Amino acid sequence: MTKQELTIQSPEDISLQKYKSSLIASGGAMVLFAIWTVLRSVVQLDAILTSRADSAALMPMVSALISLSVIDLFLKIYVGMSARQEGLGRKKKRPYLTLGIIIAAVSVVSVLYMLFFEFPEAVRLYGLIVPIVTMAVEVTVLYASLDLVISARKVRKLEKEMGRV
Amino acid sequence: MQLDFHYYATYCAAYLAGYSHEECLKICYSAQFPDNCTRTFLAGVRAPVSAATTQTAIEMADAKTDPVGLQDITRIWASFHFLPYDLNADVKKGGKAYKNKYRLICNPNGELLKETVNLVKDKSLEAVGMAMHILADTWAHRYFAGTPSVVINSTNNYFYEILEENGEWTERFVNFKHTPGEDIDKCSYINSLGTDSESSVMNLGHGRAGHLPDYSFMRYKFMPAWNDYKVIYKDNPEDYYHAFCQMIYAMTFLRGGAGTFETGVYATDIARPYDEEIHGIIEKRQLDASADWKAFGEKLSGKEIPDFSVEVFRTEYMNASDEKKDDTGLGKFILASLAHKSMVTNRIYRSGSMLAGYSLEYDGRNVGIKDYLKLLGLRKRG
Amino acid sequence: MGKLARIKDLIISIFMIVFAFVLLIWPQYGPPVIMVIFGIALLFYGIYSLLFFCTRAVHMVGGKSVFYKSVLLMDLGVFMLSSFKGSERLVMLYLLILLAASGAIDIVRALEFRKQGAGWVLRAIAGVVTILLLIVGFIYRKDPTTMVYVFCIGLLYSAATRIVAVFRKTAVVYIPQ
Repeated sequence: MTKQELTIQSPEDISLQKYKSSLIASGGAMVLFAIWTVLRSVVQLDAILTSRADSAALMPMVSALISLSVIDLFLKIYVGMSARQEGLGRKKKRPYLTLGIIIAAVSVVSVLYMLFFEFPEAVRLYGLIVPIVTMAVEVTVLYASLDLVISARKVRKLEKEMGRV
Repeated sequence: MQLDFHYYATYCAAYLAGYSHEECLKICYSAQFPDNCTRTFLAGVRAPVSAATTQTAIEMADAKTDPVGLQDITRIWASFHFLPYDLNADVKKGGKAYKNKYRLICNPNGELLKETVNLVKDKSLEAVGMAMHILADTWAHRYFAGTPSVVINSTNNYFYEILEENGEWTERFVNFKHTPGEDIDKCSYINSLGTDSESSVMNLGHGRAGHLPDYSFMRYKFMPAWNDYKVIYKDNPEDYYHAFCQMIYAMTFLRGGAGTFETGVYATDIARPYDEEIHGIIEKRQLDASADWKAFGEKLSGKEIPDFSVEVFRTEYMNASDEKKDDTGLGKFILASLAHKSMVTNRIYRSGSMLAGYSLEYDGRNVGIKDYLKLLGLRKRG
Repeated sequence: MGKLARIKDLIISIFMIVFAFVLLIWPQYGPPVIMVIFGIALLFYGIYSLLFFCTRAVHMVGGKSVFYKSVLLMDLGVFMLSSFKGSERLVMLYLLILLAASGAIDIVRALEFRKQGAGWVLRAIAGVVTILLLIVGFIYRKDPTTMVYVFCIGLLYSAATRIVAVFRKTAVVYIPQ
C-alpha cells in the first residue's frame, strides 16, 4: 500500500470507528453493571437475612435467586467481554450477539415491570430519589444492551462493505 | 521533544543562523532548560518559584486539582510546551467550557508563536533559547493541549505506526504499557494511565500518546478525543525538519533581522546543503538521537559541545551575590520565563478563558503574584 | 480566584471545621452521618458526571463510558445512603487508601526537595504523621469511631489548606515588555 492509502480515512471508516467505540463502551458497561448488581444484591440480602427470625425458611428461595443471579452474571460478562473484543478488533464470537438480543429483551420486560409494578410502591416507601436512580440503572442497562446489539450489527455490515471480513 | 533536539539540534540551528560557538552553547542550554526548571529546583536555589517551566511526575501527583491548582498547571504547560494555536478558534460544538479547552490545542505557526519570538527580540541569549524550546514543541506536540482535559487530550487504543519495510509502506499496531522499557522493534511504548477524570494530570498534554511525539523517526496515526472519530496522521520527520528550519529562520531574525518574526517561514535554503545529514538523523530509528546531533553540531562548529547539566546554572546562580543574580544565566532565564508566562496568561485571559487564571494589566499599584514584579526591572533595563 | 469564590471557600472551610469538631465531640453519631455524606457526595458526583457527559464528553471519542460511569456513581451513592454495614467497610478502605497515597506523595516530595537543597523537613513530618495515622487506622479499623476520627482529621486538614488558598495571591500581573 502507499503511505497515502494508509493515512487517508473514508467516511465509512469514520462510522466504523464510532460503532466500534460504542461496542467497547457498552460491552464494558454491561460487565460492570452486572458485577455491581450482584454485589449490591449480596449485601442487601445479607442485611435482610441477618435481621429476620425466619431466615432459615427463606433459604430455598434465596438459593434459587442466587443461582439465577450467577447465571445472569456470567451471561452478561460473556456478552460484554465479547463485544469489547470485537470493538478492539480481536476475534469475533458469533453466539454473543444472539445472547445480547435475549438480554435486551429481558431488560425491556424488567424495565416495564419496574415502571408499572414496583416504582409507585418504592416512591411511597423510600421517597423519590432512590426509586428514580434504581430505575435509571435499569434503563441504562437496557440502553447498553440495545446499543451493543445495534453497534455489533453495524460493525459487521460496514466491515463486510469495506471488504475487511 | 526531548534533549536530543532541544539541546543538540538547537545548537546546530543556532550555528547555522550565524551565532558563535559560545553563543550557541548559551542558547541551546536555555532551549533544554525549560524541561528541567521545576519548582523544586528553583526552591533549592532560592529563586522565584513562579518561573517554573515544567513539573516532575511527583510534582504533578502532588499538585492540587482545584481551579487554582489547574490554572497553575495550565500556565506552565500551555506556555512552554503546548503553545495554543488559535485562542479565538471558531469551535462549532460544545459549550463555553468545552470551547475554552479546545482553543488551547497546540499547533505550529499560531499568533502566540509570533508574539513569543518577537518578545525575545533584543533580549538575552537565554530568552532566545527558551523561545526556541517553545517553537520546537509547537511542532512535536501538535493536536494536544497544555491543560488537563479528558475531552481534548484523551485517546483510545487506535494507534498505528506507519513505516517503510522493504520498500513498501505498512502499518503496525502500537502496544502501549505502563511499565518502563520501550522497544522500537516490538512497537512497544509507555503511555499514561487512562482515566475519565477531566482534571486528572493523566490527561495532560500528550500523556496518552506516551513519548511518540518526541521521537523524530515516528510516523503514526491516532484518534484524538476532539476529532469526531477522524484519524490524524502525525509525520514526525516532516514536522521536525520544519521545526529545525523555522528555528534557523527565527534565530537569524533574532540575531539581527529587521521587522517582526513571521510564521510560516522556514530557512530551508540555509539547511539545504545539510539536508541529507539532517534527514538521516531525524529518520534514524532510535529513541535518543543525541549522539548524532552532537556529532553534526561538532562537525559544523569544529568545537566540542559539553553534555547538558543543570549544575551549570545552579552553581553560577548560587555563587552570585543577591545584586548580581539577575545577570547570571539562570537569572536571565527566569526573567524570560516570567515575561513569557505573563504574556501567555494575559492572552488566554483576554480570550475569555479562565483556564490560566487571572491576568491583571499592571497599573503601578495592583500586585498579584509578587514574583512577576521582577519584570518591572526588566522593563526599566529594556 | 475571584472575591466571591474566596468568600465561598472561606465559608465552606468554617463549616468543615465546625462539623469536624461536632463529630469529634459526639463520635457515636459519626458512622451514619459519614455514610450520608459519602452517599450524597457520590450521588452529586454522579449527577455532575452526567452533566459533564451532556455538555462536554458527548463530543469526545469514547465519551459514552462517562455516561455509564455517572449512572453507576449515582447508584453507588444511593446504596451508601441506605447505610448498610458493607458501606462502612468500603468507606474505611477508601479513607485508608487516601491516607496511604497522601503520605507516600509527601515523603517522596520531601526527598525530592532535600535532593535539590530546598526546605524538606515540614513536608517529611507531614508524610510521617499521615503514615502513622494510616497504621493506627488500620489497627483499629473494626472500631467505628476510628473511621470518624480519621474522617475528621482529613476534614480539618482539607479545611486548613482551603483557608491557606483563600488568602494566597493568584493573579498574574502582565507587564508589557
